[in-house]
Amino acid sequence: MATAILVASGQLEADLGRVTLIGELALDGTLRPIPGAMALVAAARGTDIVEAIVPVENGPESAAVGGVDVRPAACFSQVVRHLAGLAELELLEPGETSRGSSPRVDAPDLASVIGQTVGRRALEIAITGRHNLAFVGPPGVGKTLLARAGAGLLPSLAQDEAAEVSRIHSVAGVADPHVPMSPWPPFRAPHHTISMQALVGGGPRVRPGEASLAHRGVLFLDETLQFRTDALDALRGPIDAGTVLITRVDGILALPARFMLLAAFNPCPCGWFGVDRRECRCEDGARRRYQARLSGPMRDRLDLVIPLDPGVRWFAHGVAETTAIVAARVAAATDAQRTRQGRSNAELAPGDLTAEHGFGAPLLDLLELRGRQMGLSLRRLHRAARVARTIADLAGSSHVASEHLDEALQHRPKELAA
Amino acid sequence: MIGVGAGPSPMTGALRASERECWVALSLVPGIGPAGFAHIVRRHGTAAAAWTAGPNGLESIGRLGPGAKDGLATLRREGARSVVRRLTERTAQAGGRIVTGLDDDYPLALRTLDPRPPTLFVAGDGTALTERAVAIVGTRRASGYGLATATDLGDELARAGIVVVSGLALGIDGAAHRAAVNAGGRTVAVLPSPLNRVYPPRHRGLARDIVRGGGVLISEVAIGAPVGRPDFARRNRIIAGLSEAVVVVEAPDRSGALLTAAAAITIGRELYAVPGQIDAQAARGCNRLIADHEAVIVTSVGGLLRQIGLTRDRKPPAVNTLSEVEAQVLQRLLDRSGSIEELVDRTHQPPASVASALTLLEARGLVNTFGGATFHPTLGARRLGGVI
Repeated sequence: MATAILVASGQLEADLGRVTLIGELALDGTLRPIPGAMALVAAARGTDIVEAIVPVENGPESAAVGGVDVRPAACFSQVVRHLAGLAELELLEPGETSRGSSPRVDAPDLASVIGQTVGRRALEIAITGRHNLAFVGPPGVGKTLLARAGAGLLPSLAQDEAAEVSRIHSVAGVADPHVPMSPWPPFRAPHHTISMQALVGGGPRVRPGEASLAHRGVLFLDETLQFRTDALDALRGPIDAGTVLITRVDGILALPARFMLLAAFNPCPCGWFGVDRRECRCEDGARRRYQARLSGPMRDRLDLVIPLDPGVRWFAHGVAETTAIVAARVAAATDAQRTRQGRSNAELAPGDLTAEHGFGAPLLDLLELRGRQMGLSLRRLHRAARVARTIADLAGSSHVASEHLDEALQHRPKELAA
Repeated sequence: MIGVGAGPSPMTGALRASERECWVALSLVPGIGPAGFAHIVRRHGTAAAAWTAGPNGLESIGRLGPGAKDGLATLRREGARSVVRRLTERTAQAGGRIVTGLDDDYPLALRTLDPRPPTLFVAGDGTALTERAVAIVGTRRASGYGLATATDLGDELARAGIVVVSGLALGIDGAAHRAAVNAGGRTVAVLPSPLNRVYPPRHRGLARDIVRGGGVLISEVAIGAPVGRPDFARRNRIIAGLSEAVVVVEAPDRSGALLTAAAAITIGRELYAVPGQIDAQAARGCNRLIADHEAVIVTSVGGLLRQIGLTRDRKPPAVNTLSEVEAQVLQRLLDRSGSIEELVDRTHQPPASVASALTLLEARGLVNTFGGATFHPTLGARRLGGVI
């Protein structure tokens, strides 16, 4: 606006039609960074605008957009001199923020997880197909460690996905200025005291919540049952639709939020229910009340629920597979999904259970049989079928076989006995 | 409280009431338990005489608990006939009927109790109360082992044609009832609450299934009786009374199931207890019953059946042949229950194979987790034990 005044009052002669000026002007004339600069530059791309002048701090993310010349400026006088043609601002090359140079998110290596072969397997399946996974087990069993190791398994994002994620992070003001367009999917782990608004987004100036910040990545809710139940329930919409809808007086705003839910919690207040050779001191009612903190509809949306127990022999398993080995399998199976259907298996619709996607008639018959034998809902069977598709992808199989389905079904959420 | 300010004038109502009506009305007086009731009726000759004697006649006996006087006054104001008519209606609405110690269908097993519950409220097929019955009781803080054992016992007893009696509580009780219903057997649930308020509420569905399966819900508590703590002690006495034997499956110290065990000893029923690990809190009550020679130890389901004079249903279930991994997993579970992780360790099979094998075994009803991490073989699997 200051620039417009200068131009309009004739103090500065410049063509503002092809330039966009982004930033907050401080009283002393310096330019302050703003959240969402990247989104604004991205919006400018494809219009007449060829040049963006941005605060220095917003430079790298803005340049990463490409297609628009980005010139960072430290203060207003630099901007004026540049526009007047007195001293040209330096052009920031998009190449300086080359993709793939950034390190992968900091995650514990799977090799450091002792035992838990079933948990590791489930993590591999869930990350590959982007299925919602919960680890349930007593304190100290390694739920959190295993879940965090999942961050290291996430395959890199496609260019357009990375741009989408970066824009959201830029708007929220959480983008790392030094890594403007990280190819690695986000792994968000909000604390359980988080408010509903902070989890799903909203507020007077709409800000993306953790659900959106985890878009294309993982939303890890450690101690899931300690979260506010209204906050947990608010995740149902985004889990189903992949977007957060925020209704306001002036309309409905949709923020992308297609995340994989990773949950971890104790099976009961004392933590030891169901673990052989250890005693649970909780009453049946207390166990049920505790588990009911995750509502039925939310439980329905979990694809894999893995009870973890301390196992029998901790130090007799030899060296476990490293993250690098498992991540390679995950990446290959992720490519298989992209090639077949252009999206993850978690996004398969019920109508996609067809031969084209590897679901033959015998398998669908088995699906129906298991449903009747085990008293499972149609929704549960659909979810199990998607997980089975991922297990087949990990096995390099174009067809989903009965053992894939049975493995998937084993990891369904189980109700406490009546 | 029953009938405040409704009904005909006290005298006409009271005078025309029958012995049965007076009996029911008298049993509704708060503070008069089975012992007090028996004493009063013995003193006055009949319930009608006691009822007519009024508060002074009853007070002289000196056995009335607190609240009895007011309660009696309220009931007398409405009149026995009206009180019983309304209670009969409300009981019928809950699907039940009133059975008094005067009636022919009063359970034979309870007739010999002294004192016996004067009035019962029964829903379902009353013939279930005339057959051979065994009680299965235990803790609400049940372990997977306890639930598996209660399920096995309930299933086997039901298949052998024995009525399974229990208290409909969460945990062991519920598992025993459910197993009997699922096996197509009959089971009797003795409620600590009125018929229209199934306690615990979570077991409402189970209560419905029990009645549908030809079983019975029975309670000593009248509909509309003052809401207090559910009366577990009196409930437990009826459980023991209805059964020829009581099996305590899993009970920590001070468990309610131990009260049922004590009642069984007092009224002369056979008492059995399932042993548990010596370091398990949940098994301390059972282990002590065995150590103190108060209960006979149950070492196997078949052994218990033999001890109460039954032969076991040996028909193996129709199960197709199992794959190698499935058979291996099941064999390990028959050796000892365990989690998937342990089974991976014990079979040296990959987690994927063990998981899919377990699903198939679950689908065929050969293993069960009861919602926990540990897999237990079912009775069907044990019967199959010799085959694989």
